[in-house]
Order: sequence, then C-alpha cells, then structure tokens
Amino acid sequence: MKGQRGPVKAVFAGAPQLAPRDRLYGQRRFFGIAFSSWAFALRIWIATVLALYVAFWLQLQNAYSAAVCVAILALPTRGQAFDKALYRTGGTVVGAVAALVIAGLFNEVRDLFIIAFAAWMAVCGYVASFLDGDRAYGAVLSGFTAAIIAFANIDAPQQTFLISLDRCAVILVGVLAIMIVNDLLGAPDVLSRFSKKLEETQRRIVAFAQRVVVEKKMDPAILGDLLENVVGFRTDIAVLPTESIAGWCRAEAAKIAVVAMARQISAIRIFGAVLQEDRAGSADQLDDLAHEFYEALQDEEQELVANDGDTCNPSLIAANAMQLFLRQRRRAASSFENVRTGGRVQAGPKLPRVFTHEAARRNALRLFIAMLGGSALLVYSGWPSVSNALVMLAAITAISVTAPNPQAFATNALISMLLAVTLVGVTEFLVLDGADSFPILAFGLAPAVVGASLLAASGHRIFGPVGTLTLVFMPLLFLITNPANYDPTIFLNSATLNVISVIMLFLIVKVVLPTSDDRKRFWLVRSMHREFRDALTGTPIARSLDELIFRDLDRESQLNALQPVGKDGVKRGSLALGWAELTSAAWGARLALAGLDPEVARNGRVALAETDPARLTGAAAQLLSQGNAGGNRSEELRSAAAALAWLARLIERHPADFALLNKGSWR
Amino acid sequence: MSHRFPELVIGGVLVAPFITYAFVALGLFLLLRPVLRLVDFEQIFVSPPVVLLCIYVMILATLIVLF
Repeated sequence: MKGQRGPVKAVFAGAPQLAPRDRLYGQRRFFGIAFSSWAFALRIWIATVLALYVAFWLQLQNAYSAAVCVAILALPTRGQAFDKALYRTGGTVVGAVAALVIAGLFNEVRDLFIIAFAAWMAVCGYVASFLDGDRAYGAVLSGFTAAIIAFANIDAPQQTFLISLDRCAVILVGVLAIMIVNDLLGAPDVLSRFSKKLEETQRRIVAFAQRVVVEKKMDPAILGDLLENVVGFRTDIAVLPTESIAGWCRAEAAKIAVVAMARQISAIRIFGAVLQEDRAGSADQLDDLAHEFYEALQDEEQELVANDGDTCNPSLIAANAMQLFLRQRRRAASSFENVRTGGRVQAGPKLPRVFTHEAARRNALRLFIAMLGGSALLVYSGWPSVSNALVMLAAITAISVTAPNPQAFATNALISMLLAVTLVGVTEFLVLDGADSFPILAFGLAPAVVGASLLAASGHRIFGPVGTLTLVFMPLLFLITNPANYDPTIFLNSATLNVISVIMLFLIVKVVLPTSDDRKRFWLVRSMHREFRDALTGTPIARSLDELIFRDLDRESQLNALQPVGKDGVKRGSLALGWAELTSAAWGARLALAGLDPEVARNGRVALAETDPARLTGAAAQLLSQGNAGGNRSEELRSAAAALAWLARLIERHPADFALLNKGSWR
Repeated sequence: MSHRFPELVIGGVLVAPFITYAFVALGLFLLLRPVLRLVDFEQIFVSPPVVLLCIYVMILATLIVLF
C-alpha cells in the first residue's frame, strides 16, 4: 500500500488485534499505520496524562503507579480493559491485606518475613495455574502486590498500612482514568469483532465438513486450526459480561454457540474417520449417506433422512455423527442472534479448561525458590535500594507463571527493559531536561508513550508484547514525582537494578524447574488416562457432554501446541492425539448410556467396563434393535448404539494405543 | 447555611466524603442496570458507554447535592 515503507510495513501491516470501527476509521492509514492503532495510542497517552495529573492533585505518594496501571490496562477493547481492571482492583486489595498480615506477623524476624512472603507468592502462583486470562493475572497480582507494599517498606513497617491505602488509591485512579478515556473516546467493543469471528468460524466448520465429505479425508492442519479457534473463544467470552448491560446474556449465548461448534468438530472427526477408513463392504451405502449429508449442508433447515440400516455397521456411526452435526449447527445458528442482540437466554454450559496439578505445583515451587534465592542474592549484594529490584523481580517472575511460554516472556521482558531504559533516558534528559511544568511533562511523554502503544497495537508476534511491556516499564524507570527529580544517579541506579532483575528472571525460567513440552505432554496424557478410566468405571461426574467435549478439545488443542521433544517426540505426540480421541469416545458412550433406562443400558455398562470390542458391538446391536422397534426413546437408543459402536471400532483398530492408555504405561 | 458533608471513619481512618458518595453511587448504578436491561436501554443510543457514564455522574451529583 502507498505510504508503507520497509520495516514499518512489516511491523504494522496487519494490526490484527484492533478491530477497526469501520464507520469511523475504515481501512485508512497514516504513515503506514492503521488509524485504529493511532486512536489506541492516543487514548493511552491521554489516560496516562490524566492518571498522573489526578495522582499529583491528590498528592498520592507513588503517583507514577497510576501511569503503570494505565499501561497494564492498555488493551485494544473496552471489555478487555474493564475485565482486567476488575481483577486488578480485587488483586490489589487482597495483596494489600496479605502485606499487612505478613508485615504484622513476621516483621521482627527478617528471615521469616522473606520466607512468609515467598510462601504467599507460591500460593498465589499455584492458584493462578488453575486459572487463565485476567483471573490468573488477578491471582499473581495478589502475590506481588504484597511485595510492592511490604518489601518497599521493609525498614519502616509502621508505614505499611498507609502505603497500602496509598497503593489502593493510586490503582483506583489509574483504573478510572483508562475506563473514562475508553468510554469517552469510543474504544472498540469486543462484541463486534467477536461476533463476526464466531460466525466466520461456523462457516469454516461447515466448509471443512463439505471438504471431508468430498475428499473422504481430514486435513489435520485445518482441524488443528479450527480447534484452536473454538477453544480460544473462551477468553473473549470471559470479558463479554463486563462490557455491556446485556453482556451476561451475550456471554451465555456465546457459550452455547461455542460448545455447539466443538460438538460439530467432534462429529466431523467421527464421520471423517468412517468415510476414510471403513469403506470396505459398505462403500455404496456410505457414498449415498455422504451425498445426502452434502445436500443437507447446503441448506440450514434440511434434515438428514438417513437409512442407516438395522445393523451396527459403519453407516450407523457415520449417520449418527452427521445428524449430530446438523443438529449442533442449528443450535449454534440460533445462538448467534442472541449474541448480537443480547436477548434473554438460559445459563449456558461452562467452558472448562484442562489444568494439571503437576504444572501448578512446579510453578509454585519455582516462585518460592526464585523469591528466596533472589532475595538472598540481592540482600547479600549490599547494593543500595535493592528492595526496588526485589519488587520488580517478584512482579515479573509471578507474571511469567501466567505466560504460555515463560522463556519467551523473559526474552521479551529483557528486550523491553532495554528499550524502556533508552526511551526514558532520552525523554528525561534530552526531551524534558529539567522542565518542571505539567503540560511540558505531558507533551514530553507523548513520543515514548505513543511509540510504545503503536508497537503494542501492531499485533506483531514479537513487537506486540515488547510494546506492551515497554509501556509498563517506562513509568517504573522514570519514577515521575512532583516536584520533578532529574537526578541521573537515581535513574542509573534504578535502570541497573531493573535490568538485573530481568536478567535474573531470564536465568530463573531457564534454570529453576523449567517445564519442557515433553513434560507438559506427559502431564496432559496422565490426566487423560485418569479420565479414560473414570469414564469406563462409572466414576460420578458433574459435567454435561457439552462440557466434557469442550474440555477434551481444549486438551487436544494444548497437545497440538506442544513441540515434539526428544528422540521419539513426534511418535508420542501422535499417540497422545489418538488417546484424546479414545477418551472422548469413552465419555460419549458413558454419557449416552447414562441417559437411558438402567435396565436397558445394563449390557452396555458391563461392556464398557470390560472394554471388549465384541461385547461393545453386541450391546450396541441390542440397543439398536430396541431403538428400531420404535417408541419415544428410539432416537436416544440409536445414538447410544452408535456411541458404543464407535468406541468398539476405535479399540479394534488401535489396540496398542488402547492398551497403553488403559494401563497408563506410556513411558 | 453551608453544606455539611457526612464523614466516614473506619478503624480510626477518616475517609473522604467523596469516596463514600462514589461507592454509594456505584451501588445505585449497579442496582439500576437490570432495569435498564429490561427496557433495552443500550439499543436506544449510538454510544451506550458514554450514556452509562453520564448516568453514573448524574447519580453521583444528585447524591452530593441532596445529602
């Protein structure tokens, strides 16, 4: 495009994170950068200046923290900023109370104080490992807020209460500044982008189903991409309730749409596998079925009148999966309207994620060791103002726990810190150079804040996170005070300690209990083994099939994202994906039987517990004959028969996979 | 006669009257949300966030003037 040049074009070409408000900005660009990105940068600068002005006016002690708060809440949409602001406020209050308790109980004994603080950080890290998005951030924030309040005043514990109040006040100022600016300057909503993406994903799922029917094979790359998309909606849904008055209804409707899409993907895999692998003996029947299904896919209202016979053959499994697909497509389509309008809906299913205890324990232990080791090193180094470095170390180590890839986060943090030191040095000593009026400070900050915001808004894989972190680090290095202080010694001291903290983080994530992809895969597979056994043995579970299928897809998406590690990493990866399919099939059979009369389902339950394919097929045939006999539950009986037949087929075709998963002897 | 602002003391800490007003206004605003939801309030305006912010400010100002 005209106006885009060299690296600018490369970094800002897409700006995918920002949903441009078409009426307002269109696709227009200024200096090769989308107008929506400029608007975002302008909002962040105005909010930063407003927060600093109010914090100075209220004579709050650490006024620069208000600017840090604005930087942390610098997110492209109102909903995201609002949701994070809620957890930031809640986490700050919990952390302030924890700081008061720790300072009150252990102030006399310095070693115990540090151990108690490290233990509190570990607890917060453990809790955060079972959460995602802003909830996880809120949990770790409770941990490092205690560090900010208690460590910064380790030599003056009598000040802890006042500092806690000051900290809460300054956070509230930052939160209000960004929220008011976002509201008044028309920050985009999550809803418009989310709604479009939801419907687009549904179209892609139908297109994929058509392709599977035509080509009689599944492209794992497209399947993996669809999985990632569907599971990823969870983050956007979490922020919908805070964005508007009808947000709760929209979120519940969106959950229904997302689980309906998850079940469609699950159905595609079943009929895709049957069409691809089970053609021997029933090719004509399957082709007729596929043709009828293809026709039904063209018209949303059309039903599948499949004649799937009276026997437990592959056609029964495929027809059942195709009917399920069409039903779930209609369910998703009816939810889209409610997402757009916010119409009244019943509470939707939960969207559970898979978190492993092993990962949580490791994260907690890493935080504990890092805090103890870091504190000891910095205390015994004898440097001045080491508490500042400890606070920074606590904050970034805690946040690294919530990052999908802690090592990438540490690298980004190091680049950002060096960039922030440069920008603050230039702004403080070349641009402002001793100026002491607020308007000059405001305009002097503009280039650095706008530049970092533009990087953050670029959506680039590396520059995006670096921009966000630079925005956060700049006020921490600048330490803006009223009256202004331009002492180069303070700047150099602060910059050195902060850079050392980030280098320590870099070493911690590399050395202290790093979690390899192979280990993550092992934990996920172990959780899968437990759930597979639960499904077979009839262990009670309080989740619906919708929720179980979403959770299985989430686990599979996590497995897909892991890189093959070690000699047989690729083999292990593909084995794990096969096991995910077996686990889903086992739950499908178990819950299909749970919906039937216990007497009718007895044979099926016994066959499920024994996991003998012949008995499973026999039980399926019995259910099918009862279903074919008519009655008001014939649909459910036929579905249960198909679920048992599908599990029997998987066990028969992949006996080695099944044996490994069933015994839990995959290592 | 000059306006007397109510003062709130929690555990010996004097809380500024504005904070009390702000939190009471927030409570009233949250109570009002279900009513606004019933009348499809957001459908009426081009920019609902601005209108909601204005409503909050109006509640706050009314509290300050009346109490």
